[in-house]
Amino acid sequence: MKMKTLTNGIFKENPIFVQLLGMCPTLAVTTSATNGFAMGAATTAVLVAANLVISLMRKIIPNKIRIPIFIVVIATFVTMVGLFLKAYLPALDKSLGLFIPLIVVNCLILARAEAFAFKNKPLASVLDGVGMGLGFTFALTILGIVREIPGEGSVFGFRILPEAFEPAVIMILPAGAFLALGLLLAGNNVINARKHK
Amino acid sequence: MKEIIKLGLVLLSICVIAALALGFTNEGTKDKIDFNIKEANRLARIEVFPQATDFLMLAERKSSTFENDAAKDLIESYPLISDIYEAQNEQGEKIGYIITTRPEGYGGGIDVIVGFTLEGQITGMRVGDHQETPGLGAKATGEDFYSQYENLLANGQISVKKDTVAEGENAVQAITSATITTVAVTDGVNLSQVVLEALK
Repeated sequence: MKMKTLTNGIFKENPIFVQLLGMCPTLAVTTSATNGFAMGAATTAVLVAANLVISLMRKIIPNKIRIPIFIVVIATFVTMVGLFLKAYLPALDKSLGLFIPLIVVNCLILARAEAFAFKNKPLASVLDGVGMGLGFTFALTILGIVREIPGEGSVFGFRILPEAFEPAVIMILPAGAFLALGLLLAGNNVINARKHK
Repeated sequence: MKEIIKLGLVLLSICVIAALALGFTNEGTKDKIDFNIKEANRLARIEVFPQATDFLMLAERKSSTFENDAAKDLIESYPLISDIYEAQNEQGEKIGYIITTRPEGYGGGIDVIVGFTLEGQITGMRVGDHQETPGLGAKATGEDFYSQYENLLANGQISVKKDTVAEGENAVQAITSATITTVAVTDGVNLSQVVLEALK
């Protein structure tokens, strides 16, 4: 049962490919595989911490004001992650910049707090956070790779296509994010449809 | 009424705990963040002026600190100038200037940092903070683009050309599909030259 809580987020209920949650950072920062991965990791850290704290406090949080409390908890962790990144990983902070504070409004985190952590024990909530976080990171990295190869001719910053290749700049512009996501979702649906037959 | 007070108190106490946690985090990371920013700026100055060993701040717009009245006048009369530094050698002698400007590009302001020798030759140029389009205007942050400005003379105005620049010409070639960015950066460099003349 525990194992299922963990793997649920990675495949069956993948936040990006299945639940379509947290689209704002997904579309905005996945211009490269590195950015996608880093955004996923930062979100995972916030998600796990927020899930744990909310689950621990679930009995003392009054039902009527649970949403403002969730937001305070999430905002606190996001600010902490932001400060730590600025202090210890300034290069990463520079490339993600504006999108770190925006993790606060990532509906994935609020959705997990509301749908899972508020109703489950701390350990299960942490596992759910890790699973959802890994699924999110996995999806963002794939999206980053799919956009970076045609857009820059490289993966994780390493050049893989010859210099003569003229990059399709549209793939790293916002429109390319929608194109890549649409294609990936279609691919995911094809795989799922085959499975059910 | 009683319930509202109770809910308010719960929310208040959670906010107080959150504020305390943030206060501690801020206290713990503040010095390191300050150091990182200063270090990044110092490295940028070394990149545009590799021969210099020390830098003296003459004027900085953000903190309104000025070394002398001449520098203060310059900052006040040219709104696009962000800061002026003097480059010094090991003996502490003045060997040039580093001037940061912030011209308007395609996506907003672009920080352009330029180093000049006392004779007015450009020792290096770097683009700092910017919001140009990735893959197009953002190419202005590449070594290929930076090196175009090196050794150009500040005797006149540097021009932007769309075709290949001839040897010895005081001009740079525009980045493909990003002429606005190129012109903005070059404007910043040209404005620095005006300031340089005034400082001499």
